[in-house]
Amino acid sequence: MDVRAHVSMVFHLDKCIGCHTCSVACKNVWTDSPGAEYMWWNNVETKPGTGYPTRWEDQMNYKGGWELNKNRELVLRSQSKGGALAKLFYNPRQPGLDDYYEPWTYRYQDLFDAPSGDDQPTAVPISQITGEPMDIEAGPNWDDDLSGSPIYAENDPNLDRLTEDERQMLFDVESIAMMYLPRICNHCANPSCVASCPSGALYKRGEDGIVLVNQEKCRGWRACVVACPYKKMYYNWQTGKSEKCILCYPRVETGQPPACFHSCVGRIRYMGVLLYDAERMVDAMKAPEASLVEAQRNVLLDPHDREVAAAAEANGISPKFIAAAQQSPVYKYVKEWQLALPLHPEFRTLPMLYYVPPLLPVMGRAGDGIYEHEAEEFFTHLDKSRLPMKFLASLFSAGNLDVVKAVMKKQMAVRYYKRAQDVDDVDAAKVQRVLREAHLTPEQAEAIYALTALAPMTERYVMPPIQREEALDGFDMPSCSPEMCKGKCGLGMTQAPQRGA
Amino acid sequence: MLNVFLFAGLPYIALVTLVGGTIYRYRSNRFSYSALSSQFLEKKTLLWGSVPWHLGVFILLIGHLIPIFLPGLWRSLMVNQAFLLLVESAGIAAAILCLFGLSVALVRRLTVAKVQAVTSPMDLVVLGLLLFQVLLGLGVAMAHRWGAVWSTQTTTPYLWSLLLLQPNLDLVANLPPMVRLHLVSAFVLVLLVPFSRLVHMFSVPLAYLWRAPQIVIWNNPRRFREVPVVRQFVESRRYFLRGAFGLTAGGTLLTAGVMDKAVSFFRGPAMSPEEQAALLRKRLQRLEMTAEERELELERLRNNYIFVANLKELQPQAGKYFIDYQMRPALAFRTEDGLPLLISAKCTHLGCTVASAVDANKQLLCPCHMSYFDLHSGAPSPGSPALAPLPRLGWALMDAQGKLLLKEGPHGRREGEFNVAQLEECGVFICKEYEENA
Amino acid sequence: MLPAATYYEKDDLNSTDLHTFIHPLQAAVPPCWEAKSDWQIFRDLAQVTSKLAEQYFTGPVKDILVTPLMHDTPAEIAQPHIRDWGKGECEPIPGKTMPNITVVERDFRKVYQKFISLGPNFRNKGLGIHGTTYQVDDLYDAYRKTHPVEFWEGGIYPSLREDRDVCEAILHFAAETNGECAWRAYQAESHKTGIDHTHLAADTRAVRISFKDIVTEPRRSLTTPFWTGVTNNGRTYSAYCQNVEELIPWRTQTGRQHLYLDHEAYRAFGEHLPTYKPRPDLRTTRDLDYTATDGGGLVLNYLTPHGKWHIHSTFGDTLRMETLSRGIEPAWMNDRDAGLLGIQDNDWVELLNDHGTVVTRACVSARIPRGICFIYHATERTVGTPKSRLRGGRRAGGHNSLTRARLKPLFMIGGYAQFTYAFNYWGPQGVNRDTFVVVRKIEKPEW
Repeated sequence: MDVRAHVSMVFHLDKCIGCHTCSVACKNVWTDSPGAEYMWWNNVETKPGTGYPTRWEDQMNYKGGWELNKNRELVLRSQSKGGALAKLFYNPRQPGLDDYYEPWTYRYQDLFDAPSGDDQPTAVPISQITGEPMDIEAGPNWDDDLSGSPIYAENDPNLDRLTEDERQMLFDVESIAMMYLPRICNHCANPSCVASCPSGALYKRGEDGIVLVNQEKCRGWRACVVACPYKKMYYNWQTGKSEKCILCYPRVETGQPPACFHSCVGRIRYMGVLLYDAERMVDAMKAPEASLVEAQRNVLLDPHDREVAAAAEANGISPKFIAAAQQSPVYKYVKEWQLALPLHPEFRTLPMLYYVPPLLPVMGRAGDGIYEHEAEEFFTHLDKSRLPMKFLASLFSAGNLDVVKAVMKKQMAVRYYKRAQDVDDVDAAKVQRVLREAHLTPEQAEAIYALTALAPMTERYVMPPIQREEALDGFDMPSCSPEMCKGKCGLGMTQAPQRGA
Repeated sequence: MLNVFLFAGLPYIALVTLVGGTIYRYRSNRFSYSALSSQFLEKKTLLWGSVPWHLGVFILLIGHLIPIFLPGLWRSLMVNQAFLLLVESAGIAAAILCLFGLSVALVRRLTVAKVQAVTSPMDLVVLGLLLFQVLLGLGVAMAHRWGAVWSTQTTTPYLWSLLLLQPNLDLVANLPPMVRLHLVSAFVLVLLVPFSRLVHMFSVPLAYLWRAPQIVIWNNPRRFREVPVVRQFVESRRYFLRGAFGLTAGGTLLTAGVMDKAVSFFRGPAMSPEEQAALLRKRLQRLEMTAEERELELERLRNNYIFVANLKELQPQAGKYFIDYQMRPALAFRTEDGLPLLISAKCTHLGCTVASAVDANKQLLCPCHMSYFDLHSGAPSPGSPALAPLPRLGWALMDAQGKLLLKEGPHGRREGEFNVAQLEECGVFICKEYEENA
Repeated sequence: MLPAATYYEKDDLNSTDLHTFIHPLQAAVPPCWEAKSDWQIFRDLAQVTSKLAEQYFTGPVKDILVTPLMHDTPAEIAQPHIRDWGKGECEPIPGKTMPNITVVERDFRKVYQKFISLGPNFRNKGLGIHGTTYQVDDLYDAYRKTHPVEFWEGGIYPSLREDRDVCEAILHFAAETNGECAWRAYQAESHKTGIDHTHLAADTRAVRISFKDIVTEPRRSLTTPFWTGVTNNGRTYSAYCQNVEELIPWRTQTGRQHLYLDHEAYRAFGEHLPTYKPRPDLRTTRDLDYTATDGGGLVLNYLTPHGKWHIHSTFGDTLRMETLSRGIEPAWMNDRDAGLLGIQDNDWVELLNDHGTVVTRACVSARIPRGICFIYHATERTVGTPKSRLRGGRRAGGHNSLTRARLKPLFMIGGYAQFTYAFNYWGPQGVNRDTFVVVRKIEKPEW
């Protein structure tokens, strides 16, 4: 057993209102400098939709993540070792600016400089890269709320698993449905970006699993941008370096949640420590697609198990981290209740960000002009829900319908249980039956309700501050202690980032 | 004269700048080392610029470096007419490839608006110079054929003479002007490397071929006993085989990448876990010392009197060190009349600490630059580097109950009564009031 | 039109219905150019007015003031039926069949002094709303001793000269931020209902929230009878808790919740019961009488809902939010409707009717029902607004260029229980601006 601690996350999609406060919080803190305008380390997508960058999930095109080769070995889809060197000069799969969007601003000065006349001046959009007037044709959230659905939503790669009829129904105005999908770097346990970096600049921090780019080691070969199947590696066109979500590690080190978590209006985000067994990962990564979710769950260890705790301590994990793992809301969602699922487990990177799939659109259905809300036959109707199960399965379980259905049943059972309590219009025997079918006890249902609906910040973010000695930067300047590195600009760099000659 | 500068001065300037400049840039501004790819902004044209150029220049570099570094082998190969023909045509093909790539790149840099946004003047200079250089090379190949052979008699020995620090200009004196220009232009290019994006050629990531897929870095000192790069998710044997294969295949690449190794040689070895632990320990000690100092300082801020020693412990010949109110070292003696004598031990020359022993001439010695100071007046003896006297410090005598018996200011003014009997039990103190007056 | 300071350039207060926090606005930077805070603008206007008045007035003048029949006064039961004295249907009686008429004294030479002083009526008549009044005379006297004051004509008044003074005065005398006021208000409320409600304010009676307090940390407003929620002990605000738990009557004709409205006007308009009403048709709204509906255009119902990214035009016009939307407020329409006109997503379109034109991009979505299009509230026309050929090459308009304000008659019946006028509660108001437009595709916008 090789126990590792990992700062992990759960996003509860039923609670996401798509307000993008997280995106703005992140943008204002980390990516508002030249070269990074187009980057949104945190973005919120409308699903079905093509997302940002366009159709990032389509690995036939982008070649991100891992795959099993003929000998059932785990290999990068984007490159072989030698191939990596051949692709230094030109990487055919690297997304370009057009796959994201061209960042723009407006020529605001025109509003002041306009000659006097009888018409109002206007500030025309100009490119933030060239400064020339431009046509705005794409943005980081272009398909928001199903905008341009015939072009974007209908080309969501996850719809490939649907039949023509199902697709048709999804876009009828009476049965149309959508959900929001907030995304940040998953800080995968088996990151393909790290494995792809020719310079060895990307690394995973041992203590908390945060994946970082050493900006001084990065040489801008861009292999990581291709290799990340979630397209959460970004190339800074100005500095010639790759950048990514750093999970606000300066905040996490002091026990504070990252900016996007802290600002989340819908309180959809949970952060906690997971313990996992690095030895088991080798096999889990090679599981067949249908059992990937199960295999990845099995990598996670029970922090209450004394043997696990002892092994963790022996492995250098601080007691506070182990204590936090025992209270982790993430552990509850992912392992104990099995409600939270990884996004696209078939990329085989073992993402450490899990999603509770949304239940909302399955509540009511219009049929024969009657709007049904009595969900007597709900469990049998799961197949006909507005957001098709196949769609959710494509997102969260590599196509395994049973996994997604089990989650839906649990969520539904909790609702029945609470409805019986609060409104008292559901038969007690039925509640019992529903709970039993969903494999839940009343206590669990109560706990799920509490953590989902009531939990204050202290229960949603259970993060101990990292040990001081662990917070030192692990870059190749011999570890830079805070006393020694005063006045340095942080993020592992000793100087302000400036484009090289 | 110009000849000497161009073929003896310039190459050395270029070489020194190349080595010194790249190392200096790497050490002072490592962040600026990047391939500075603009593929993100423009993809289609780049394919036709970057790929032909890099492929072509790789071939050309090998074709130029082997005759220079392995002239014997090269000559023996060139004896074969067919091989010579092959090499010459491969060279010309590569040059055309380069020419094509560079032209595309130059046009792209000058016409695509988004690429212009990341184009510096140096980029254009380098591109232009490379284009010029490749054109010259192509011209030489066309006008003065069989360069693969004649170069081994001319330029190769010339370059060797440069490397051996015995430049022999005769070897190039009679070469055609185009060849000479090609050489000069090459030197200029070498000179420009540390100032341009060309430094990226030292970053060719050969280490990737054999490194483990995942990199995990622990900062935790509790784990220092473990290897920093830990995890290997896939069987290592397979990677060994692949690595070995990669080594063979990359052998040629190594020639170019050798500089990468050289650079890391100059960077010095990485610290071992033990050394890092030692460094941490040292830092801790330093912190402890600082804390101790702070404590003394606080004591001096808070108290009007600081205990120096019991009077009976003081001796006339060997002083006792203590720290005065200004946190400077000082010495305490007992004079013949039985009273204490306190004098600063900070040399007035450059601030060394004066030794505590009194020599036969009743003088104190500063061991740093041999300044002698009179014990009583503090005045430096003639010829000492120090010019100002060591200042005397005021003191106070208090008995065991803390009653003040006698005080003496830094200038010798005494206050209070005493009798000799009491002296033995007295403690010597320094006083804040004298510090403030001083 | 005068330039007003923005929210980061002035000291001010801000709060919202149902959201129980008092927000301070603080001047992080001085206002740009010649901008001033709203208070300072009005204060300076008052000063100039007073100065001019010195030339034109020798003393106070009498003025007639007409006020509507007000809620929380006896007038709210003055008119059970609709009668117009102007048509001779009833006698004109001020305060009963027509608005109240009062004679007031105005001294325009003193406008400025009065503007910057918290006057004696405030002290003597007490404060209140919803028919509940509490006295603040002792608080006023004490306040005068600890805060800046104005002296004029022998009087000493708390100063309202600076923005900050006004904020302090509001915080000090409002029941939401002064526990004593809340307690007194409950005393008055108890007097009305005959049930003791003061326990709701007993625990917070000593609380005084000053501007400094809310600057230091967010503070919640106190429970008062002027709101219907209870926020004691960290409880979340929820409307009508006090009515249910404290048995305080709803402020309706019967004191209960009304579903059926028995007023003759409501019956006449068919709005006496909240039931489904179909949307008005083109013949009713008559917004396309003068607009050619043929010639490649499509007539669509047009709405202007609140945006996802902004509150009216506020907060939506920043680069961040423009980037997260589409850089312009597009016109949303159904994909099949768009297909009829050959409009693709992000094409330029022109929307026009008798009132104006809008040039913007199309946002084509299956989410929008057929026959409808909408533009989110986007009042500003500062960025990315092309010109309109129909307007003779002048700048096209914003979302409201296509709408017009229609007063809803039912908001003006007055004198009948809860339908009586009260400022910012009930009064003449526009209806939702449902209208019709012609949508056309344009190939190339002109800037």
